[in-house]
Amino acid sequence: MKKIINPLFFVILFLSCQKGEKQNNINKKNSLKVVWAKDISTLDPACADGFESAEVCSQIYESLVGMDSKTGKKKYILATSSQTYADGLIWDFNIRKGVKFHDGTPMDAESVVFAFQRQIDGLNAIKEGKISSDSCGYNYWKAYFTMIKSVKAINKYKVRFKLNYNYAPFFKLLGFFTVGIVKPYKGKGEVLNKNPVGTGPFKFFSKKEGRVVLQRNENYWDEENMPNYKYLVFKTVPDNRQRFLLLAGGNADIAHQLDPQRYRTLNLHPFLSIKKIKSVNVVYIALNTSKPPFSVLQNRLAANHTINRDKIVKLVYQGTAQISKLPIPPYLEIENKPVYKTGEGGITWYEHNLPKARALYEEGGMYEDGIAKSLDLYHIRSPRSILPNPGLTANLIKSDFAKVGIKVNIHSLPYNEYKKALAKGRHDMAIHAWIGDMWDPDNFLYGLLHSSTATNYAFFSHRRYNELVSKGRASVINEDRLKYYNKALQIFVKQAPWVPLAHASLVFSYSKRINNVQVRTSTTSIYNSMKKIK
Amino acid sequence: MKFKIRHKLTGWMIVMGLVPAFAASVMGVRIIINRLKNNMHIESKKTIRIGTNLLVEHITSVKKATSRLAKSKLLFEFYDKNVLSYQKERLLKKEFSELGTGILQVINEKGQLTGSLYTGSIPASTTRAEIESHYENNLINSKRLIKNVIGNYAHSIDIVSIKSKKSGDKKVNRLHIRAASPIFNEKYDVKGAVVLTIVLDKLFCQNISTILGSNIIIYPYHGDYNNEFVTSFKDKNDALPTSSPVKVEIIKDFVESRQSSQTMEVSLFEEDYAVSLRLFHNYEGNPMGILLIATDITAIQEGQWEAVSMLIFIAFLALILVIIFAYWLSRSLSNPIVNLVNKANRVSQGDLNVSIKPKSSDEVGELANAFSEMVKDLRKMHYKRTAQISEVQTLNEIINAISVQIGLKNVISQAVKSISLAIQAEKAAFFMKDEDGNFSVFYQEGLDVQQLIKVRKEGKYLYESVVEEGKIFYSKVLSEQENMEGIDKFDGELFAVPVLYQHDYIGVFYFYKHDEEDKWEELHITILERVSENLGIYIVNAQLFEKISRFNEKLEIMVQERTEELQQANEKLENTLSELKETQAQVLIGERLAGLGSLIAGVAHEINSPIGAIDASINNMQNNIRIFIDNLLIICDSDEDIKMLTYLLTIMKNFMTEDSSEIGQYKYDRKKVKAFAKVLSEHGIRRARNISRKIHEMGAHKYVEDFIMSFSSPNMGAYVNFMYDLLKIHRGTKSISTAIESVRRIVIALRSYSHVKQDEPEFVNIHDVIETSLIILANKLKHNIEVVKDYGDIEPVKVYGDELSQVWTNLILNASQAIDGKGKITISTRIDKNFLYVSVTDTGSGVPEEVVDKIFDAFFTTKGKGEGTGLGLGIVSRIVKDRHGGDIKVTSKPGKTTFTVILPKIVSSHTQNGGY
Repeated sequence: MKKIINPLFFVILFLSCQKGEKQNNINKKNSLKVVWAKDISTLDPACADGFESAEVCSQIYESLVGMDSKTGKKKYILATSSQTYADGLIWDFNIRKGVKFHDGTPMDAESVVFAFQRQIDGLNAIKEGKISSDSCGYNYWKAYFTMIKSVKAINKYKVRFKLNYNYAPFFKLLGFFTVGIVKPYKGKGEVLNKNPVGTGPFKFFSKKEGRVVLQRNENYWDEENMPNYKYLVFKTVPDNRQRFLLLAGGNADIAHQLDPQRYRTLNLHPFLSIKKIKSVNVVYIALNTSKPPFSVLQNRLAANHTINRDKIVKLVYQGTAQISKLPIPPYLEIENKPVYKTGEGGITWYEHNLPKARALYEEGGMYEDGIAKSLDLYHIRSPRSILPNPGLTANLIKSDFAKVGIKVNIHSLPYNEYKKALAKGRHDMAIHAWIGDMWDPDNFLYGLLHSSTATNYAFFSHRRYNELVSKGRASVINEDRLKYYNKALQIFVKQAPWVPLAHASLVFSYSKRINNVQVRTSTTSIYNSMKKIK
Repeated sequence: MKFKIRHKLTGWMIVMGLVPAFAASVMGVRIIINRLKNNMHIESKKTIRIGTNLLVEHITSVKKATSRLAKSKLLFEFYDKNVLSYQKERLLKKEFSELGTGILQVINEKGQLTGSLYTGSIPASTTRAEIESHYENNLINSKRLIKNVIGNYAHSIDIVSIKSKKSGDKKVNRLHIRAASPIFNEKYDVKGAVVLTIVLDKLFCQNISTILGSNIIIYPYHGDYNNEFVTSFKDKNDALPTSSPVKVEIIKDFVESRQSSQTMEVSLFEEDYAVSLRLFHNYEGNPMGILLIATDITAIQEGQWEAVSMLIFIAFLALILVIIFAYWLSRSLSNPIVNLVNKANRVSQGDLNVSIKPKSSDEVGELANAFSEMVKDLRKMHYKRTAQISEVQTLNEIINAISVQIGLKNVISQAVKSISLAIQAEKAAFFMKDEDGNFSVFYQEGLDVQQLIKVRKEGKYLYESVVEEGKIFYSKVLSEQENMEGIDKFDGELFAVPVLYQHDYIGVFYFYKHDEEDKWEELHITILERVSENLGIYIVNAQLFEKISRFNEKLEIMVQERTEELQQANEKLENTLSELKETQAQVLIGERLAGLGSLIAGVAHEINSPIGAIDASINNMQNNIRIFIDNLLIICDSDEDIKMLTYLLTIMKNFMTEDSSEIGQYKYDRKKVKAFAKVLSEHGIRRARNISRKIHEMGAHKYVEDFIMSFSSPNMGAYVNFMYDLLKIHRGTKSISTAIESVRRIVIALRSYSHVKQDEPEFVNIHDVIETSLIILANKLKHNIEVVKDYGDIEPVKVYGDELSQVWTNLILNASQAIDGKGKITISTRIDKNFLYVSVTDTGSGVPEEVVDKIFDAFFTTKGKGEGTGLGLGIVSRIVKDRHGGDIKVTSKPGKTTFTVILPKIVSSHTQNGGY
């Protein structure tokens, strides 16, 4: 018997060796691959300006609260409950117990405080000139979080926020990805770029030029929403057609920022699918009110009469967007009440009317010495999810201005250069797209137009408007807020610091190999809920 | 069927080879088929993916062509003029005609159709104008498309199903790709739209088929799959198939399964195909068509079968090799073994002339060597043994012949004869030593033996010298022997064998033979030595036998005489015995009566006491009755209500009826007595305290109290006294009956004690029997003897109760004597299964160890002369053992001597009826 067993044993050994070791390779089966047009700029959520960075950060870090992607209701994430005192000036959040950072360190109130305090401290340091504001100026904090007076840990699992003034959408504000809870670090915020550690469903795996890989967090606290695949790969493919081909060829699962002209083909493609998701956003042309010619109201009004918005929206969006009149879409509501009326008796915007434009330009001194001034139009070179074809848009604008004899110089720049140019105010016009992370008017009316914010690319500075939007964010009564915002909007219409273009749907192009596509608070995707069909 | 090792070996090797070979083949075939199937599956999936992408690419091409057309100058011209020159029309057609059969339509900004351009073959049954108008009607219906293009400037693309224009009798659904692009002027104002509608026709199928190298079929989703399809397939006649090449059921099943794709194997046109199906849909997501790609897998299948058959062939070849090898190996292994086996068989059949030449030096060779060595040894052994056997046989024959003989003469003659026969002696003689120690011829045989007898050696007869030397004499040629006389005639051999018995030579044998050819050998000497050893015994035995026979005859006569004497003595003995028995019985009865006599004084005393009590009671009662009558008179003299007396008498009667107490039973409470005395004295009763106590003693105070409480009378004292007298009379009668009861018990005890012999055992309560004995012995157990009764719960037993009372009496009496009137006697009873145990334990000095064995013997006594007969325990033993079949045991040490009587619960009446 022994003599039989020995060779048998070797045969078995041989056979079992044949199967070999499982390799840890990233392949089509164990990963979900996303292709997009632009590389990420940072892995620090406080600095993550731009869709791509926000998208990656939102997978690594989590906020205290959020919104349910299906019902749109408030939801607790890293917090479990909250109380508010003193007319909304004090907010206490109970922190979820048992949550651990990716490296196994427990997450507690102190780490929550750190995530906020580092931005307060960073901003103070910039003010004092200790740090240059180039790298990360904590612009989000500057624009949205200044009402926070202090953040303190009351005990191991309770954090108290004290506010300078009551801020109505404070709960929603804390769902902002920029205040995602990072693991406390020593030194500068740059360490997060190399070693980002959060509590989210994915942890950082690797990063190189044009490619970020995240790995499933096997210890994710929310077991129901564990991803069913191991790796999440983000690859930068600047070319539209290549992204489409990657998707159609089954080499990518999600392709962002595809040309809307492809949506039709995509929809017909048996392997692919598109999903339109309603998003609170605005695409607009910011008119630089800080310098001529658009410091003059007549010119701003004339520009609005010049640009054939309807045509642009149609040509660019191919039916996936609606034309915009105001900074906020009509479907943005405060507690189920629309912020402004539409239709008859509602607010109207300036129609496309070239003669009227010409007349206004005359008034505004556009045609001095009979020679029209030339205008500088800036836009980001790569397409955005809600601005799929910035080049076409710019060209259409250019052709419209040509009709009134005004030359437009188009500056198509990479994202960072674009931002710098805008910050320095070099532009006369800038095509900009904005997705409201908070689903609240404050996000638009204050964030994009209050004179204090860095994202006010029109450099619009109107005392009364400033007052109104400040009141709007601090009021607890919805009716009051609606009133303030309506008045502010009327000022916006009169002053016309923008040429509003469109409210676009987010269009998701994805392979039929995945399903359950969801988006968090109308911006970032919830990749962990997506299921890869085996 | 018997399997040789060769067959088994071959069988095993074949099995061991066959099973893995078979398993390997099966696995191999499986792996090949699975791999090929998998590959085919993957290939099919890849093909359908490419095919689908080609379809999408085609759609995209249509869209692109539309966009291109929308910017084309020729189109603008066509848009403006509606009619183009033939040359220009051809150029415009060229822009899209390579996409396939289709139509270009132009609509203006209001959505109205302004022009159509059809490209493709026109069947004879119809005209281009007809076809164009057919498509026109269809386009007008797609308002959504027009609106989207004109309204949203949106490029549109979709898949539509259009019923073909009547061609013959069939109206067929055909799938079309329809793309639309807005036409702008230089200012990006929309002027209208260009719509391109391209049929997905056989040409398209053939194009894809060419790229893929597989055939394709496209079915409209909503349609008659059998007729409505386009395909790249061609039938045997190289013509388009008229009905679906793939069974309609497959398509229907696929549609019903609601899957988006499927892969399977199907046989088409007598060839095997891997078929993949894919659903495609229109813009709204409604399924529009089914793309079927069929890849010819005949070659793959053939390859598969080739591989499989090759594998099987190789496996088969290997198998045959295995069988051949197995057979060869088993032969080469088993042949030497078979050879060995054959030889071994021969050896076992007795052929020891076997030799084996080992062919190899392996284990089998060694075995063969060992075997041949073994056979050699065996051969040697065999010869030796044969000799021994013949010797033993000869011996046996001789001894057998001798042993059956009786009588000396017979034995010797038989011995000589049989030995002579065995060794072929011609002459023989036996000399025997007589009682004086001289040898003389006892037996002789053969011619001229006399001469031989006279042969002398060194002056003595040969037999004498043999005896002296004490060993066998052997001469090969007697006549040549030196130092011998009278040997001249004897040229033959001679054996002179001394016969030994217990260190003494009792005879000598001569055996002579003259045979030149057959001489005696060493073997014969051995035989003779052995025989001579045995013969001594037989000869002596024969001598003894003769002696014994003579002695026996004498003995028989003596025995007869003695027997007669014994018989007479026996008769006398029997008579004496019966006399003895009678005497013994007499003695026993005497002993019993003597015992009774010694007890009777005590018993008389026992009887005396109750009689005295009766006497006293009667005296008291006489007094009481007198006083009673006096008191009754006092009561009768008074004028009291007669009811009072009636009541009194009634309660007294009740008391007497109910009272079953014994005298002195009631304990009374001194306080109550005192209180009652007070009540009595209040009624003028004298000696109230005494009366109160007595009434309490009698247990009647409740009645008296009741009466006193119920009535009030000046004569209450008389009433109470009356009651008191009545009570005293009652007590007197009770005393008398108690005394009479004890007398009666004594009498019964005596009667049962003196009851000598009981005929049948009866059920009795053993405790009653013990009590009887205690009554008899009451007088002896007084004073300082404490009798402890440790009675168990024992049901009635069937015994000779009266006889047993004698047992207890004896044992208890012995005990009381042992403790010398002071100590404790414990009587305990218990029952265990079928036996009753009664033990009498005393605290006396104990029975000395040396007499324990004797105490049950009759007439044994430790008492002084005249104190005891010594029969007591003897009788006890007889009653217990012989009458009841029980046993009695003694354990004794100073301070504790226990006699335990063990009796069967049920004694059968025929247990030992005799005894005394």
